[in-house]
Amino acid sequence: MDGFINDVKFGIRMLIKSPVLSLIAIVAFALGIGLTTTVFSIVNGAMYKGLPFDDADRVVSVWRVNPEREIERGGVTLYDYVEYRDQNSSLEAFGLWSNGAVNLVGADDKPERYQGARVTANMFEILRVAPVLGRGFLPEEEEPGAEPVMIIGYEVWQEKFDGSPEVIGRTVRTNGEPRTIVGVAPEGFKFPIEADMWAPLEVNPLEHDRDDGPQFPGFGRLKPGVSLDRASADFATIGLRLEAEYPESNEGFSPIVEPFTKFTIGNELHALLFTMLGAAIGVLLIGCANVANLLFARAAVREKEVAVRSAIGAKRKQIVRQLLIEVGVLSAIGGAVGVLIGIAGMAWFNRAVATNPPPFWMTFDIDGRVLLFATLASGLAAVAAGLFPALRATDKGLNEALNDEGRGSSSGLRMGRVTSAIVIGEVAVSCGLLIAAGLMIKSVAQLRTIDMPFAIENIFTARLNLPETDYPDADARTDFYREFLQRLQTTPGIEAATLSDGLPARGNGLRTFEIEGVDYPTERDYPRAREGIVTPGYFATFQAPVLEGRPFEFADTGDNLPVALVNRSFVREYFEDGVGIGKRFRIHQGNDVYDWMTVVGVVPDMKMEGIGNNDQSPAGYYIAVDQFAEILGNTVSVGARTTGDPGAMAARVRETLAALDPNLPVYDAMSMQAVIDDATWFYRVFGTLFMTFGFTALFLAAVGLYGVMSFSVSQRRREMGIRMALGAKEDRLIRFAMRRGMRQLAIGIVIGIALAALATKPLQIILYEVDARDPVIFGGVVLALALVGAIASYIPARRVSRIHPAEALQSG
Amino acid sequence: MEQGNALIRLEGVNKIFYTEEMETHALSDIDLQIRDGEFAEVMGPSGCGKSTLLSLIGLLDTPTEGGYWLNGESVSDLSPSERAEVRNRHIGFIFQAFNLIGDLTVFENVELPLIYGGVDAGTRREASQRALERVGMSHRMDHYPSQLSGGQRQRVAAARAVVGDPLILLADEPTGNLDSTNGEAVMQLLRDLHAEGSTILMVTHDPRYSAYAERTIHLFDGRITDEEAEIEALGLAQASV
Ligand SMILES: Nc1ncnc2c1ncn2[C@@H]1O[C@H](COP(=O)(O)OP(=O)(O)O)[C@@H](O)[C@H]1O
Ligand SMILES: [Mg+2]
Repeated sequence: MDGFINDVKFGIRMLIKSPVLSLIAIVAFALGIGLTTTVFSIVNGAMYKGLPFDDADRVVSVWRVNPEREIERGGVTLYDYVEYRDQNSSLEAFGLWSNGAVNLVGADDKPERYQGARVTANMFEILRVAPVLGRGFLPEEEEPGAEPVMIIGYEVWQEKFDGSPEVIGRTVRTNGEPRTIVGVAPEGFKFPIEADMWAPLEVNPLEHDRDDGPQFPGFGRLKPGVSLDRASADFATIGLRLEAEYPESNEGFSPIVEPFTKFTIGNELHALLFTMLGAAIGVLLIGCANVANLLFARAAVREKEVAVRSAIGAKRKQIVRQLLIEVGVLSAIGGAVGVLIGIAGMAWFNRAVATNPPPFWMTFDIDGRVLLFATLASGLAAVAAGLFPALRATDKGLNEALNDEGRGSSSGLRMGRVTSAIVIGEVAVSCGLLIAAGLMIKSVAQLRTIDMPFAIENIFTARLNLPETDYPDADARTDFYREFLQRLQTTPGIEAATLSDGLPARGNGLRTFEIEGVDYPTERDYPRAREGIVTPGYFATFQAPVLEGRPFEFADTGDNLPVALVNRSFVREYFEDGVGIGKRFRIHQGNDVYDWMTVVGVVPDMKMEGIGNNDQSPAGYYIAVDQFAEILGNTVSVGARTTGDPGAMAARVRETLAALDPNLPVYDAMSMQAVIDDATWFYRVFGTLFMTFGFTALFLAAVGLYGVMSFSVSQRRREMGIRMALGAKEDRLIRFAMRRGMRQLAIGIVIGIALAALATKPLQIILYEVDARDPVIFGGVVLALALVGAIASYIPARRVSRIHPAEALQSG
Repeated sequence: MEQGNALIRLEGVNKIFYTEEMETHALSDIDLQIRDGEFAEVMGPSGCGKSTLLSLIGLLDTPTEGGYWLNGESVSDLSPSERAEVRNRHIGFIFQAFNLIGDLTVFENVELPLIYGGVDAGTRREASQRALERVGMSHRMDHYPSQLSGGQRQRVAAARAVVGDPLILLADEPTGNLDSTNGEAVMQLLRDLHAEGSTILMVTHDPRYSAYAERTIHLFDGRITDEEAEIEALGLAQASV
């Protein structure tokens, strides 16, 4: 222990003695550890923290999959639910959940919009959470016809009800229906994803047929001692039996049991997170390589000191430890700074994701696990950077080192090889990271400048939701939509308005249909395309021209012939003769078969596939709200082209709506630009991260190359002197001094390109309309790196070539 | 032995090194001439400025003050690139520490000045071979310096120094790193080169080898002290006017 403290003391003294080396090393460590810590905090929040409940590892999700029908995570029907619930032997309790929006009118009579969830009465029991006030749901409250009750979230309680305990027993209107508040959930509890309030999920299978009716995700808690595998097997057995017993409804469906939080991180995101962690570790490795090279340079200088130490009896192990502790001091300081960078990184990340809050259990901060990670990273970084140089500094023969006469060609060569490998590795990793960064830059730039095939300027958007109690059927909703639209269109400041199921930038849903006259042998052969349900004025509002035929008109009502507009890609994909007008097709989704619709118009592709879904077909069609209000349901988006700032429209739209129905809240009011920003946040956030990696890598690699080149040139000063004496001119000397560096650069770049090619797949999902193998980016990065590398080796080469030959000959 | 005109002429040369608040007057008021075909040596105690003098003559360094004419032309105000050219064409160096390049073979070391001089490959090969034959090292052409003894290395260095037929050979303690047998052999080699017509200026502080030179320049504390040499030099200067 004494020795250790001495070593640390000595390490600090050495650190102060060569402040430049120390500073560069600390910066390199800090950047590397800072980025790694930032990314690890994200990975930690997204994947490792899990639910913040007692023994939360044992909370599982239950889904039904059907590979035949490409259902990856489907819900459980109420029929199946009852069977699984009553027959499984692996879960303590098994429940269902579903998400939905809630319009809540509280004491202030102002309608407000919240995220709500319906859950089976056993939610708190499964999660082992107790309400802070009141009680949880009673089993009978999930029965049909039970008194309507609800539990509100802590935040809602504080904001909307001033945290008053009187709230229990209060009746409020939710989605037009009175409900009695029976409990308040604890702070931060937003199960299953982002819910602010909960109502019982009515479990009444008999309401529907077995192969019909709603499906819900299941969740439960494993019994003590039961593994995930055993639970899976248990459920699979029940699933097989159900399949055999009810083939019409259950054929091809099998249950999966998995950790609860898994469904929020798809495989692609999973791959992306780890690619990001890999990228950050790459930056850290570059930092380590830099420090290692600096230490190599110093090892040469400190040979004498090391020799003296061993001459007075230090064992090699002790000297290596001493040298490692010196690096450890540097990496500890770098790590501390890195954690600060991580804290800043988390602040940035949290701000960046604030508009699209992740599931409630994903909190991104520096917790104990992250600190442990940072500590480990610092330690490993110290070893990675310090071990080779320490071994190298101590492996020279004692005599050799003390006499210093043998101008070593042998040990010099060996060291050259390790340094060489480090430089090559450093270049390779930064090349890979830079390519990733380059792709991101192109992607983000593309997002900024992309020509959306619809108007973005001066478009106001919002959403509203009609509660079923007040608007029980399609007719009621259609009437409301018509009236509201007409009022909107005459509101001052609004030039054109529309109501629709979605907005252009957000992407439309997929629907299965059939074209008249085409034979589809099996259920699976029916094609799928994007569907938009819109009112007249949709294309006028978004300033998309109707290319052929006509737009929707107010005359396209349920009394008249069903009509549809199709987009260009739809025509191309489904009508061989290239003519859309006059063709007929109909929705054919399972048992739901609708009337034939006639194509009356062709419109441009308006990104119905959503922004960034490059690999999906943009083909889609539009149908009229008046004719398909049933499909539309009770949530609509408002789109309005304004004469002035769309931000100022929210109040006016609210007034217009309040005049019609004071109970309806307008929510998600934002400009079209905001909608697009919102739809692209993912690209921007992760793009920014990768850009940061790339530039940090470039910076570190440039510094590293410069350091290595300076050192290697200074090592060869004497040789340069000889060459000068023999008459070599400056340009020739520079070329000579740069040659080795440039060769290392070239090898590194080649490896880096291969590395980047490997990472293209996970990167593709955050690239907006950029091919992950974009040749321009690859070429550009190679050029940039070659340039930076050339400059980094040119400067020291030129410096040495400028000294007097006499001086150069005296060195070494 | 035929003695030609002043190949090297230094007038009023001073060299001061400025280092960390200290001025070292390495050379003061040097007037010196070396004639074509001469074999001269510089003697003096360590630190008296011998190497500095050779560096100035070899255009490895510039004087703080004074004039330098090489073969009748002033070389005081040349650019670094012109100086490199003069070194390459007219000056051959032999150093105490051999100064061969470890990563190059014997042949490549000898060839190097010719490469810098822009000589074509065929001529280079011939000339290098001839130079190595002259020093008796042609059988070691493909060896690396580390595979040679000190004496052999110095012979290779000599071959490299003469390969471009320089006007003058500058040798700074060429025997300093060698044992007496090898030292003797290198001195013999210099004498042979001189006999074949090379002009040689050699630094040594080993009196054993003084006998090889025709003329001794004594240097003490940066000044030439040998009157005889000075008188001789002055006489020559008058004669050449
Ligand atoms: N590059 C230099 N910087 C500073 N002082 C120098 C330098 N080179 C030589 N000197 C000094 O100049 C004097 C002459 O050195 P040098 O010519 O090497 O002596 P010699 O070769 O006779 O031993 C010495 O005092 C030496 O310390
Ligand atoms: Mg000397």
